Amino acid sequence: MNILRPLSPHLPIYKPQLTSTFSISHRISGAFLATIVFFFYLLCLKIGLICFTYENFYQSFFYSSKLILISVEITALALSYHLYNGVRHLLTDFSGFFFRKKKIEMTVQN
Amino acid sequence: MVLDALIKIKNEIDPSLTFRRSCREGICGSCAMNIDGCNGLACLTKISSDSESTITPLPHMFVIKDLVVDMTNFYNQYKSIEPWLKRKTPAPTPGKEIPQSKSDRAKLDGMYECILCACCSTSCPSYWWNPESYLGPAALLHANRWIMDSRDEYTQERLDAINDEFKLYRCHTILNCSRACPKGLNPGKHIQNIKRLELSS
Repeated sequence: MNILRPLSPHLPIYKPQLTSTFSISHRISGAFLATIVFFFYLLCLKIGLICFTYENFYQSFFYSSKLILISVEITALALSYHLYNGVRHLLTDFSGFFFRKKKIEMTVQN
Repeated sequence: MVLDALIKIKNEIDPSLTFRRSCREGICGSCAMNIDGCNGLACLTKISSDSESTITPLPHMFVIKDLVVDMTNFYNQYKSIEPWLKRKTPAPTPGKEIPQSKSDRAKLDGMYECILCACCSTSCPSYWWNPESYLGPAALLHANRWIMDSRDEYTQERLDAINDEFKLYRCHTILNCSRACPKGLNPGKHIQNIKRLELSS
């Protein structure tokens, strides 16, 4: 008889904290940037000669659906967030190496 | 406080409501639970002025009954870091306490006050996804407490014991632990200290 033990609720009930929101956004923006880079590498370098000369594709990508515009905007947002949070991380994580005498408390209060 | 409300409910409305409690003053850590989405001690959390309050047990733990969760795994992880003084050489003056300077004693401030309520560990998403392999903020805070104790001589062995991909390095500095601690401790900072020591050991 295999009964699964009941588990208390976690993600659905836990109030999103500032700390956990920063952390998961850093991860999501990082994953997003990785896929964007990979996608654009495939698109531009690999099949660029075919795609960008094909009239309909060029049109929809740059003009009618404005895919490039939207994706550039979102990528810029993700990149800036990831960059700033990354710098903050480096500063707080490695503050123990730079400031031995006066340890910097990490900001955790909401 | 929320604990008073729970006791009133148990007395007057539903006597079968089950929860742990003991000191009612925030020092034993028994009444740790999730109140309105945040982990805390019921005896220290004020009843919110909203009409409703949602109380759930500590997140991602096996539920025994109502608000009582299975803490076995949590306590075993605490035991696994060997939270006692270990020495290789005998005490300088046998039969007397091992002397420790005030500055060395001050290094333990912020760690010895931990009451093992499990609010921090159960607020950590990394601990949710790896409860058996990741030690969790509470056990790691205590590991740091013994690593930083000047009277303990097994520092290097303690550091090596947790220098594992899972035991220590599942911590991604999410810092939910420091946000949740009802005693105002900062487990994230102490885990960072362990990581720093691991790097230079």
